[in-house]
Amino acid sequence: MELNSITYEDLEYPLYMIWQLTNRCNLECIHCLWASHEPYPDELSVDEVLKFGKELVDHQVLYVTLSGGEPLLHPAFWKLVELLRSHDVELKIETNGQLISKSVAKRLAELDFKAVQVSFDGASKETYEKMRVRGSYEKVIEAIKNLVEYGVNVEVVFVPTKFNIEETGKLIDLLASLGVRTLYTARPIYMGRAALNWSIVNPTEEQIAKYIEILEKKEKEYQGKMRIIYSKLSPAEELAYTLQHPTPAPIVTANGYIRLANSLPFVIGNVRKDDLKTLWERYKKAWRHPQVIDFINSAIKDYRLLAKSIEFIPLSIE
Amino acid sequence: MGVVYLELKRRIKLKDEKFGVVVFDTETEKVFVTNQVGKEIINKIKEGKSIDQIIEELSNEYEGEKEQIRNDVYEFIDQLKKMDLLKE
Repeated sequence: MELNSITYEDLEYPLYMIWQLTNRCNLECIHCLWASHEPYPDELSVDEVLKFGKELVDHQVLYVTLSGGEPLLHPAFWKLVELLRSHDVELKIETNGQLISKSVAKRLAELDFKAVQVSFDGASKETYEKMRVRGSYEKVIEAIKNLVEYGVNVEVVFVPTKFNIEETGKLIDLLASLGVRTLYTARPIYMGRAALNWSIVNPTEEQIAKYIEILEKKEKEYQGKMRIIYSKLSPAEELAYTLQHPTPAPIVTANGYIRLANSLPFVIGNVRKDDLKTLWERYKKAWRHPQVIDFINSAIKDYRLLAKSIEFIPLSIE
Repeated sequence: MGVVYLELKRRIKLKDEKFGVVVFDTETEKVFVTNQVGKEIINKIKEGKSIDQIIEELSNEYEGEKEQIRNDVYEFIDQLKKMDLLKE
């Protein structure tokens, strides 16, 4: 008996999916890729969400990340997570944390989420609330405390910008003191509101160099206590890597499209009319589609093309 | 040496596919494939059985020298360790 590596192309169905349940959000963050706040006019209904959730269960999709917008605002959220957890699907939620009261934290803990990932972009009230418009610094800290109190695995995502990047080290210290076990951090992407606010969102190369230095130092300092996950690649290098190593996680948009990746505008069908098997087969082929390769190669030369990735461009696949 | 028990990392999932059994570590998002015997060993580890118990049960279940089965089981466990699928 052996244990061998395989590629996602060998699989009959996806193992892992990311599901943007809604574009509705209680915040209007200045760097939001999806410019989330208002829901899309054609979002999946409660019945449609539950129907697709059942399809994931039937085909043994093993792990789902629920994101948004703010996923807790979708009226089907709790029914969906109860359905998925009752079939032992591992769940992670990406949230801004503003709605995580003690009772919500308790409910998430009872459902045994694999992780709750909270967006947290600053070690001070001033920078956090400048970035997360309508957000409350006190509430996000409270959310993390509530989750930790109930034993939920808390992860944080931090996006460095021109005005919060200097707080990287201080933020990591704060997160460690709150009991956060994992920090993901990556540079902003030229999409949605980040593109509109690029002059204040995009850090300088000097700032990035210093930020990487701090991450390396903190990684050693918190070894065994908190994982710090980041990439040294530039956005262009990230895209080149994506082309060579496509992600095996299709993204379901709030209106049911299947997107290849966050930073690509292409969709390969819709859960309203295509079954999971068809969508997965198209997804596998899509990564070799000339339009996808051309887009990535062009965006490597000019990152501003990524602003297009907020669109839903149908990709024709035989 | 006393009785040795192993513990699989908590968020590891198994799934039958046509070509074998997929082992998916949802923490690292790494995917491996094994066969039905590998799956059986993983499930026995999950059930809290010791290495000796696993070898004993597989020897009763499958034909072959017990010593060979013992070597195969230890080799498989080594691979689980290398792939970082077991708790320290």
